[in-house]
Amino acid sequence: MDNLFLEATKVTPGVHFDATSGILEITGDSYPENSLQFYQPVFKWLDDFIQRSTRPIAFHFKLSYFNTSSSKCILNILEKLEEANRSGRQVSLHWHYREDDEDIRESGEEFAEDLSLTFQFVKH
Amino acid sequence: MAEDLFRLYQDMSQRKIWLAFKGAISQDVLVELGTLLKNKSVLDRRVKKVFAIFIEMTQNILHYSAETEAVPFGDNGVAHPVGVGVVVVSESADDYSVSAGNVVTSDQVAHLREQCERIHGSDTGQLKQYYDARIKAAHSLAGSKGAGLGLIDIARKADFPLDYEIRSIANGRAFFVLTARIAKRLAP
Repeated sequence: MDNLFLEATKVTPGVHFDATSGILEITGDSYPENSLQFYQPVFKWLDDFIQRSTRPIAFHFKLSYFNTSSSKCILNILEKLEEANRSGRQVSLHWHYREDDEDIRESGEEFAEDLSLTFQFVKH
Repeated sequence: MAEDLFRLYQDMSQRKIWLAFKGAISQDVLVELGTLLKNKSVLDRRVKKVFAIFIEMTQNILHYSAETEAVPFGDNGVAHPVGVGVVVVSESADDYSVSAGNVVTSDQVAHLREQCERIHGSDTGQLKQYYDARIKAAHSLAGSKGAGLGLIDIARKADFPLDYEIRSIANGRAFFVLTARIAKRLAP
C-alpha cells in the first residue's frame, strides 16, 4: 500500500503516513477554510490502512494549533484508531505538546477522556 | 482626509490597536493577519490564545456573515463569495482583546442570541460539557463547517465572560459584535 505524504502549508498540517513502518504523523497547524475537504483523503487512507494491513500503528499527533472544525476531524481520526484497537489492532497514540502550551495538552486530555485508547503524552 | 487619517492613526496608537480590518475576510486575509499574531505569540505564549480566538472569529465571518463580496481565487480568477466584517485586536494594561463584527440575517439572530445567552450563563464546567455535546453532534453532520463550536471554543479560551451585542439594523438584519479578552497574566 502507498504511503500518504502531504507537505505542511501555513494552514494545513504535514501528513506523514508510512505504510511500511506503521508510523503515522501529523505535524504543524490546522485551520483550513474547509477542514473536511482537507481531511477526507486522510480518513480514506487510514480506513484502507486499517483494513488492508495488520501492522501495529504508532500515531503521533504533533499539532501546534488546530481550529474547531479541524478538531472534529481529529476526533474522527481518533475514533477510527479506537475502533481498530477494539477489533484487536495494536495501536499506540502519542500526543506531543510544547511544555508551555496548555491548550494543546488540555485538548489531548479532553479527547482522552472520551476514548478507550491510552494516550501517551510527550512533552517537548 | 489626510488630517482624519492622522487622527485615526493617533487614536489607534493610543488605544494600542495591533490590527484592524474591515472588508471581505477571505482565507488569505485571515491567514496573513493571523500570522502577525502568531509571530507575536513566540514572545508571549498568552498571545497564542489571541491568535486562536482571532482565527475562530474571522472564520465565522468568512463563512457566516450575511454580507458577502465576490473575491477572485487563485490564478483562474474564479470569484467566490466571502463574508464581510470588521475585526480589531488590541491590548490594554491588563489584557488583550479581540472584537469582531458582522451583519447577520433575522434567521441567524434568534439562534445566535440563544447560543450567546447560554454561553454567557455557563461556568467552565458547563462550557466544557456544551463543547463535548456539540463536537459529537457536529461530527455526525458531515457537511457542517463549525456548527457553533467556534463560539464555545472562544468562550473557553477567553479569561473573562464574552461581551456580545446584537444591534438591529435595516431590513430585519442585525449587526453582531463579539468581544473576547485574554488576561496578560493569570491571577495566581
